[in-house]
Amino acid sequence: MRKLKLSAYTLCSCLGQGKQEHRDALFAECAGLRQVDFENIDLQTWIGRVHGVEDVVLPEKLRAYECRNNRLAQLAIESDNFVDSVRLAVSRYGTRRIGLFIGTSTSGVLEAEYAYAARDLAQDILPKDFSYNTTQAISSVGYFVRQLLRLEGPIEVVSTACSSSANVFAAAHRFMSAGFCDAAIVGGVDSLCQMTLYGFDSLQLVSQLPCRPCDRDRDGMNVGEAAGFAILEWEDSNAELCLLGYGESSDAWHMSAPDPTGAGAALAIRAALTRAGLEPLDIDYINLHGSATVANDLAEDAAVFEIFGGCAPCSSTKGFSGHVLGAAGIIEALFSCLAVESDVAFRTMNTVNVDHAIRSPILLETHRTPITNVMSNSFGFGGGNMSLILGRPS
Amino acid sequence: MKQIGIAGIGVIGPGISNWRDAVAVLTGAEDFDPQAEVPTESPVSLPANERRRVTPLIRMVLQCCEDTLSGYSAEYPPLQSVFSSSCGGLETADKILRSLTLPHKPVSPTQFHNSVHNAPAGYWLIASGVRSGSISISAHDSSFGAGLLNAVSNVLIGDGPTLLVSYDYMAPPILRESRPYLGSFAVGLVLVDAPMRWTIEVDLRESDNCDKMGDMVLEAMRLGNPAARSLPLLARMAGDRPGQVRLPYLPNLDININVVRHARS
Repeated sequence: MRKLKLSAYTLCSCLGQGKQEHRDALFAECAGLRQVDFENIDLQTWIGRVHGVEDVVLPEKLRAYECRNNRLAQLAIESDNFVDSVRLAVSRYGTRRIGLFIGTSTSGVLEAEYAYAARDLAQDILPKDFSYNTTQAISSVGYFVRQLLRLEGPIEVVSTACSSSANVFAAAHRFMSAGFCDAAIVGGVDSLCQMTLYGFDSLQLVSQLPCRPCDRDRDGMNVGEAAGFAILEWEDSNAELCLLGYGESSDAWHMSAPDPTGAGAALAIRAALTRAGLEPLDIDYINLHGSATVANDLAEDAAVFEIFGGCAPCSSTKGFSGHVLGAAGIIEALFSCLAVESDVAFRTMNTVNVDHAIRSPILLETHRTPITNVMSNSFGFGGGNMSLILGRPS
Repeated sequence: MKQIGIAGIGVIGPGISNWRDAVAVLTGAEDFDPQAEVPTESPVSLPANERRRVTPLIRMVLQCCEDTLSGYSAEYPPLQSVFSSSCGGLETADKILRSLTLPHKPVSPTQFHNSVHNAPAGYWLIASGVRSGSISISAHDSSFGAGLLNAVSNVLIGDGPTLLVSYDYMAPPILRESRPYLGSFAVGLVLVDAPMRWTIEVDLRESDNCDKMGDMVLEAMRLGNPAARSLPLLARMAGDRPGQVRLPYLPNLDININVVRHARS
């Protein structure tokens, strides 16, 4: 496929705000997880909570969009001179020719949680100041960012659970290829709320401890929050980082459990390699979905081992950031960019003893090695699989 | 822009259980009653254990998929899919949000996995066994148009035939002020890279000049559900009237569709 240059990017997670704080945390092996201290949640677990989200104030004319998810989006956008990079892209392409593609799974649902808690029980009505369309609605984060960045081009919010913001890369590539826009801003934003914490707990997928991807004693995930954004343009001679390929597939198996054979995931991985014109041996590091649930890590390994046969070092960064759900696709794609830029493959944080049933080489130590191409996997409820390949243009 | 063939159309709405019913309403042969029930059946294509778990919204979407694909041969290439909805499963979200106000917050695991925006897509993929890529999106009131752009892009760049389904279901009473839908509605199209009886060419235009429905009740429906923003496009094909259609997308940005009829498919 025609490559897309990542001409700028930024991110915000429990590891910090902006690229440098993420580099520092990942290289120094400092995870951002902490015991749950959010909204009186009475579960025993750890979360990836972003510092300072509560203090973000949206611009006066966008106050209707006030909610944790949009505050988190703005916090990320304020880092790494991202707004300046957007203005530069606008000067090159015009506001109408830049598409905006944002992934989220729960948008601003926390605001609805407050509204339901405060509802008038006798009449069963929500408080008057609750604004569904600008907070809880899936599209809220898209229209907020569009106005914040003063864009006027095509827009959509992608919501395919935990692969949402991996899908945005594919959507942007298609819109650009079809000529609906000339450049794109892709993003992913998901924020802490009770719905996901109690929801994943109801499925017994939440760990009481810091999560341990691929460990023989792993017992579930930690929910986190994050936001990440990137500007995509067609590859040119200045390109240093590119989206080289993407592959997508569906398990067609179960709503909330992966196909244990990994067959669906393998289809996505193969499709990404084919689109990138690469062989398994060309991949220097795989950033796994690695959610640390018993079923995911086994099924993913089945797919990865079938294709790579142990030739590519793998790790999951969810022990650093938690599972940031709809933002995981882009956050881990951007971790992959950091890996390429620094020639570092990150360790699988918290993991001590790799499950004997997992055959791929799981990195337990930070690994310094030349990295040209990285694969980043994201899988989600509904059986959606996305595999991205990021790296240096050849 | 290249022409894209339409290899299937499906519609579910008030009093409308398939494309044939929709044609009758759109050509004026039958009156349209937005208060009529939305006829949905139990999705026989799903395994029994999954069938028990589906919500009325998911039933409606599965039925729309079935209607859209009724003429689509299993020998054709596997379908990519685009599912597009402004608000997805509001009823499920409402149930979970109520649970979260109760002691011990008893969220149902089935409701939780049904709450994801791509839940209807997930059930369709399980029912059909299709393992191709699938995307679920929202662009608020412009969700049909945005979904169409995704599906058209898929076909244009050679990713193969694509199923587009756009839908929104009546909001539960507590959210009706925010989402005052006139009725539930779902529309499906199969887009292919081949000449069919109907082909479309799609591009974006800097205008705020979208088509409206001539009939007052149908116009109310068009405005009364984001998926029904598709009605002017459907009306051209139902009434055998090729020509231009403009659908609303964003302020000063319309989706322009040239609908062309061919002598034979």
